[in-house]
Amino acid sequence: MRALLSAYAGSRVSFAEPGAPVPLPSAAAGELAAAVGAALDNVRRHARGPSGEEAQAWILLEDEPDAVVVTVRDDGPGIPPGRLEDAEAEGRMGVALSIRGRLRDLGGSAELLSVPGQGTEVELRVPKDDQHNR
Amino acid sequence: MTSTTGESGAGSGGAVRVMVVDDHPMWRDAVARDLAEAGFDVVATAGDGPQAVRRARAVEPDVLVLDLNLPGLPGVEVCRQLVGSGPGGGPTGPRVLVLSASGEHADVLEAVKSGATGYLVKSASTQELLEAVRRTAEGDPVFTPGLAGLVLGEYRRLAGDPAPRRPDEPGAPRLTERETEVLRLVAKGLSYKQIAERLVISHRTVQNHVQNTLGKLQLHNRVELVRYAIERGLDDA
Repeated sequence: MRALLSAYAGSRVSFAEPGAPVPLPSAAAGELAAAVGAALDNVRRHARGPSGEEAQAWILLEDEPDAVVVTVRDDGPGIPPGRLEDAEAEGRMGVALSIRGRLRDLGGSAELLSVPGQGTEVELRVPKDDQHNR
Repeated sequence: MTSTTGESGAGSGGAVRVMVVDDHPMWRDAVARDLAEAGFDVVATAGDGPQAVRRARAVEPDVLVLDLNLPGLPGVEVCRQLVGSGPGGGPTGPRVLVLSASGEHADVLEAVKSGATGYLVKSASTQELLEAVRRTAEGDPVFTPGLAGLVLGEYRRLAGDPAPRRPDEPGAPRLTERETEVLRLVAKGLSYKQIAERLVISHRTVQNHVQNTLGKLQLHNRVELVRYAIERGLDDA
């Protein structure tokens, strides 16, 4: 996972990782990386500072005993309450659906957290399957 | 790295005394010049490991800005020899700010376990460097998101280690839930101020939590080194 995600790092994207390999089966790793890419696209497209500058983003990769967790945070204005529900009602949920869908296919989950003044976080969690995936 | 700001880098009493260690002369000179222009007192520079150890012992700087990739003696070893080497394990020697190329993660973690209290990538801006040296001089760990991620990873690895071989042996250090929470927020790029707001604790408490996570790792590292020495019969040298 480290190699896949470090490719996203740049001047606007910081990448924090545990300092040791984080193995996932290649199909799952690819899907998870694609979900992270979709989340970053979303940041680029929607999260802007007050004067229109692109938001900064942070990726955190964690290797928990039972799951691999990737969090993507941005320092944009955050998502106003009700906005996601509105978008869903209008059928404009492309990005959220593609992220959620990818994670669901992996048996994982995607959680969105938006704190006023502290940007938006998307936490992607992929469980480790002891039987097959080690 | 150029700087034209004349901001004062000195604390209330006298300028902070800094030593710059890097094997690339142009880089070393640029960092030294930026620090001097910002009001720091650059008391020495060094271009290899053994030279760094000798000169640091001679001039006793407050802060050592240390590249890890050094000829002669690795930066991690320089750090180990200079920081907290006293038997009390207190903050003897200079405070160390590691300045490293990206991708040297294992080395950065080793340096931090050996007593370095800050880590900055070489792509950082001059302003970030000056701020980091200032904070290091004050004893405030310079915790970038990258370092927080590494420290979190190290604790998770320690948690997965087998139990101590003897019952009287201290186990590996653990993070409290709150410390884990704080480290994760640092790793996700939140400032101490934002973390304090989110967790409804004081800025000082955030700093204390961060400091403790480093302190426990460094203490564990010293205990491990002592045990290793005893096992090898090196303790009464």
